[in-house]
Amino acid sequence: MRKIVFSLVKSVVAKALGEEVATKTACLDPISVLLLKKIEAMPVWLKFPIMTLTVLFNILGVFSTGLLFEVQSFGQQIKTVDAWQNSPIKLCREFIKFYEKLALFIYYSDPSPKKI
Amino acid sequence: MKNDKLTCDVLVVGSGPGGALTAMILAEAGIDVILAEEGPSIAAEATRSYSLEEMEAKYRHGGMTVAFGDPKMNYLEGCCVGGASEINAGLYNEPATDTIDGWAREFKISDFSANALEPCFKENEKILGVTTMQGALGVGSRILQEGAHQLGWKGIEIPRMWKYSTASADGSRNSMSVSFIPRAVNAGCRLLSSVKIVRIDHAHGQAQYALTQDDRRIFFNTVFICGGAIQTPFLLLKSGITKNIGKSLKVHPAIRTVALFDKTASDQNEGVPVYQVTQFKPQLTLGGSFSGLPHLALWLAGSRSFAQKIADHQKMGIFYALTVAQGQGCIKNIPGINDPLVSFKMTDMDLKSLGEGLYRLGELLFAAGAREIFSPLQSEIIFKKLEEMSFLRQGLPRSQVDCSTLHLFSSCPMGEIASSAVDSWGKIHSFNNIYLNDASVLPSSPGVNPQAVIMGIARRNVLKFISKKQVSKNNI
Repeated sequence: MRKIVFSLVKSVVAKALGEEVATKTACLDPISVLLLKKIEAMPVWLKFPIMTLTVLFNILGVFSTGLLFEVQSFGQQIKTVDAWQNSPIKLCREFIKFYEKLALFIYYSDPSPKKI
Repeated sequence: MKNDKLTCDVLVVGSGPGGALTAMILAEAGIDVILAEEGPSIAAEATRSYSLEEMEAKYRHGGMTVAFGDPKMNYLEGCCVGGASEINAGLYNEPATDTIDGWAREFKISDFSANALEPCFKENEKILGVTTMQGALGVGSRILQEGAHQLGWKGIEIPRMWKYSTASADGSRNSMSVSFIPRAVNAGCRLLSSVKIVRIDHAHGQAQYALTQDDRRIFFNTVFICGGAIQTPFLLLKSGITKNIGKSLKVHPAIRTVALFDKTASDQNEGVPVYQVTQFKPQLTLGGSFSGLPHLALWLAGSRSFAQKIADHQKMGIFYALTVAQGQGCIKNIPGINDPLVSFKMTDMDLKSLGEGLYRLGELLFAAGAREIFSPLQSEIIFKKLEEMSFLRQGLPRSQVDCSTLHLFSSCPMGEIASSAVDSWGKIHSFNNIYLNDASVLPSSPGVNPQAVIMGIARRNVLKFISKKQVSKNNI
């Protein structure tokens, strides 16, 4: 789960702030840990749908690239996230939005002066 | 700790504004009180307000709570000693006298009126140091004030439960953990933090003990349940007490937007702007939210030119339109699951009110000099003039609404009508010794931040309880 979330965080940060930022930023791993902690803390009605969807998202990568999302190349991962973000299915869009919002909230919560 | 027993005269469950006040008044009257709080005890200054660490430490589920429905609605609850008062802006706003007097008539509440509650409000205000700001208004408030001035709209600075000291010019919240709770403890109240009550055991209309998560029993003569509009009905439902419980949840839904100005529009030290536009009250209130960088990032996430937009964060502010919903929600207990299932049904009229609110907010912010307003419906849409927002007045599309609330109440309403859950003094109908004394008993929407009226009613009800107790003691 941690590897999927890390890849998701890296991809959404890349889409928001550029691939260079996502590749060079050292804080993505702690962001993933915090994000997983937040999912863990959710009420059961939210936690299980999010976890199930995250696992499903990982597996569905096989149908588009032949690989699980977590082992796709960084470029492929960004394309997969992009496809879900622009999907006609609301649930797919909402799923990416969820990770995007939380990842960026946590990213900017770090008070170190490297941001912007 | 299994099978440990605790006893007290009165058990108070929950230490938010209702519970803390109840415990303080009871303890100061010489009653043996235990105040049980599910969350931890955390010093008020231990975390930065509205920060990620505060969410982790003081919010229920780290702030990730949702009422299901179409649209779904995010809501927030405190889960620490002091409850919601530890995480909110400390705003203190009495409802209109018409609202309170209307409740008395509509819900047949005995000895209840704005006049009767006034001494309770005054006493609470004295302890809580309710005051307006010392010094100038912050930048967010000034924007709202400027817009209202340009349009000739009414607006006011909302007073806060706040304390100023020489150590900090900005002052700090006078939350429960630094006001009522220390007084309660000084008067002999036993505060049990990180103790979750999972069930109230009862038989023949008489509650006997509370069971904690770690299997301890707390025996009492009377219990006051003050867990808030969600947790109070959830505990009752888990305990098999169901009549009119959790079926009439009301909220003030809010829709937020970000506005970009040509000047500085946010200051993290300001906290939540205290100025509100009251021109359209009680149906609609316009105000500002905490506009820190992480919150702006959260709000702007998903927009295509995110990096470019966030670079201008100091010129941006988050503002809201808050409405009174006609719809209602319910809290359900699903056996075997530890979390309440909360749902809320918004009516078409509610969506129309939110749309009107968003339009009026746009009018206000453009009048205050906003260059751009980001649509809360679709992240790619940016409004550059008011006319582009006109369509919102027809009502917001359900599929695109992203709303939230901090004001939840009325899930166990008080009164003497068939649909009320508790009587005119907060006692559950058909139970001798279970009282509710928190947001859940408000009969309906107060139309303003509910904190003041929750505490006003809580004081009234607990004073009545003490006077009845003294009468029965004298009779013995």
